[in-house]
Amino acid sequence: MAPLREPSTFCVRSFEANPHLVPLLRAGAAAPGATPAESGGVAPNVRYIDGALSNRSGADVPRTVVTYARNRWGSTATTLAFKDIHPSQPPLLSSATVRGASYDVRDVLRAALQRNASSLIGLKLDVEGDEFWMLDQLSREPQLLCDISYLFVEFHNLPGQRANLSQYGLDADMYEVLKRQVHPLMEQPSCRLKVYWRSFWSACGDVMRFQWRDTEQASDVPPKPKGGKKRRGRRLIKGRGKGAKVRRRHS
Amino acid sequence: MALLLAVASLGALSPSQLDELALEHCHGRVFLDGGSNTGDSVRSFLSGAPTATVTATAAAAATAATVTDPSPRSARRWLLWVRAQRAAPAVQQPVAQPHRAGAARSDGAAARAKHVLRPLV
Repeated sequence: MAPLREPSTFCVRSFEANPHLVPLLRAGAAAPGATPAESGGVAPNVRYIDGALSNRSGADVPRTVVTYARNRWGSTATTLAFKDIHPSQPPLLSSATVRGASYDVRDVLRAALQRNASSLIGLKLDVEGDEFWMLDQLSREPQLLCDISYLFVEFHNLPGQRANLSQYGLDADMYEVLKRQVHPLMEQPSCRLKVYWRSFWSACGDVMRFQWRDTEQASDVPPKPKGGKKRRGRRLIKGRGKGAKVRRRHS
Repeated sequence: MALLLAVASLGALSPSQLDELALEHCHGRVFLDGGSNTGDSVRSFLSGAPTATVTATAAAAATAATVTDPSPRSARRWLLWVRAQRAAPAVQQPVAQPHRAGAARSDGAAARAKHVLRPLV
């Protein structure tokens, strides 16, 4: 885990399949609800790639981009049907097919390893359903999978409704299938894969990513200006609350 | 042979795509972020946050295997220990030799600590 404590020593290559978001990311635009100062711009070791990280490479690969809110961040590229991932909210306002670059994760891994065979590689997948096909392919190339050290994957099948995967030609229990494929490989002493974590966001100590549905990114309502709102409700005065009485009784 | 296969399959990425990746600037450590969205994931990664929770949870999972008394008092002590681990600046991954450690423990807790580290709730 020690290398992850030195993130500035990593080359970060961040892939975005939604072409509408790439200019914002490259400009270091503030995320929804954040002030421009909080965005922090783009670090020198970070490069945003205009293209999907997926299970095939190509310069002109189609994908679906769904708009769910009328703000500049309010759209997403998706592999599974949007409603299969987000059945209730946010709303699906429009959907379009766009074409763009796609990078097969295996090709990218090979390219990195060709530069430096002992590269230490972390991989995070939040690819709206594509993770099932990507991981399935990766697990069938054990050496390549085992050249990854840290693997964080957001799984996008609906909890409790795994059957929704079968309509995509996947095993309905694909999450478990992948575990059965990946875990034995990790047991091999030569395998560098140390972490296979199902959630990057909780690994980072953040709120789970699906909670963005309640944020300004998924809302058409302009964000309220921060500050200026007076605090309401009673304020606990030191020495006069219930807890203070208890403390006095014990002292 | 392996190198030849690697070069052959690299043909799937066009030269312009390889240029876009700019991996020549990387010196042995690469973080591939599939799905930038708002850039939150990159910001989280750069903050160094993954280590704190992942390591603490791995340690907690390994420690949980040693807790034999399920009384609330033990659970509370365990939670306090987890909080202390989270606050600690650097915690060594407890499963240094996962393959051997996993095989040695009959309950498989060490193996689970290595494999699927579930978030604490």
